[in-house]
Amino acid sequence: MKAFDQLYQKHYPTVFRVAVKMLGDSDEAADVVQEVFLTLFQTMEKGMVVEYPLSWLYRTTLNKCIDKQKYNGRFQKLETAPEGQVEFQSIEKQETRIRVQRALGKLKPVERALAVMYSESLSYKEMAEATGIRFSSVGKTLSRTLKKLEAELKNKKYELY
Amino acid sequence: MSCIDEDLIQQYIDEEVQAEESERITRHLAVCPGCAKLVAERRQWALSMKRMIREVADEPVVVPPFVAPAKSVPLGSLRKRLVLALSAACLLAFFVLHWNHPSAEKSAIEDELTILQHSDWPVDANQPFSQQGLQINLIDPEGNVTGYVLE
Repeated sequence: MKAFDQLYQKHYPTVFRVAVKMLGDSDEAADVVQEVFLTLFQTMEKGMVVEYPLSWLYRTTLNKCIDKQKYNGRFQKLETAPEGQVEFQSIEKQETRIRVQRALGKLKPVERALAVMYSESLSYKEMAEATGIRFSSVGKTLSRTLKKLEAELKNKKYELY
Repeated sequence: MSCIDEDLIQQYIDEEVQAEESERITRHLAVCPGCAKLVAERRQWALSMKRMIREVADEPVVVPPFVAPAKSVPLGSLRKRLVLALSAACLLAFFVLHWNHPSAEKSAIEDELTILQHSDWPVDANQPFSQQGLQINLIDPEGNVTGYVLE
């Protein structure tokens, strides 16, 4: 399917990044992304039309990540930096990454999804579609989520040393 | 203390407020240094938050090849086909065994009677039936011929 191949090549990196931010583990993220694209493939194979593929991909990825975290039973993976990448990063960057991962792990799944989508520069409309939050409430929820994240980051800064 | 609600500031810096509201806020910021400073700080803060979250996954992504799943026949359909095939085979076996059975053939022969009818028999339509001298010959399976004359 040519249409599917184009979508896969175009959106795989974005979807993968979202899954890594949600799960904090690149191996698990790769599994989730494969599942997401497999679902898309089967949907398109049946002849069903996916009107807004990127929105569909965001929504499906976020839901699958939340399910995965529930299945794993509480975000242990967020506590560690991805293996194999540590030695190539500067200490400072590595610390920042751990802090942000831990702080994201403290948020509720929907709040984490909002923060991740905000970092991807999605519009409020897209965030509302992907998370199921009312469009009119996105700004308020996002503002509070970012403040919560900031507070967590400040706490983690002290915890780290 | 800000004159603008903080949630509204968030929407303003994300360019998610209506055009009219946006203009109103811009006009206010031009005359209110406190709010202008706060909005500038919030804008910087939002950018730094975005950047930090992005850094969690900022390595270049290698797109692996997608392996399409092999086409599989649904189990329900497979089971249905199997049941239909077995039913057809049973019916076929029944008919074959029934019609080829020796006793069935024998009984069919035993019950068989052959009636020979000669259509060229001289019939006088003006005479009564009893005076026609009509003869019926019945041949049984052993080949014995029994003649009956209508009187």
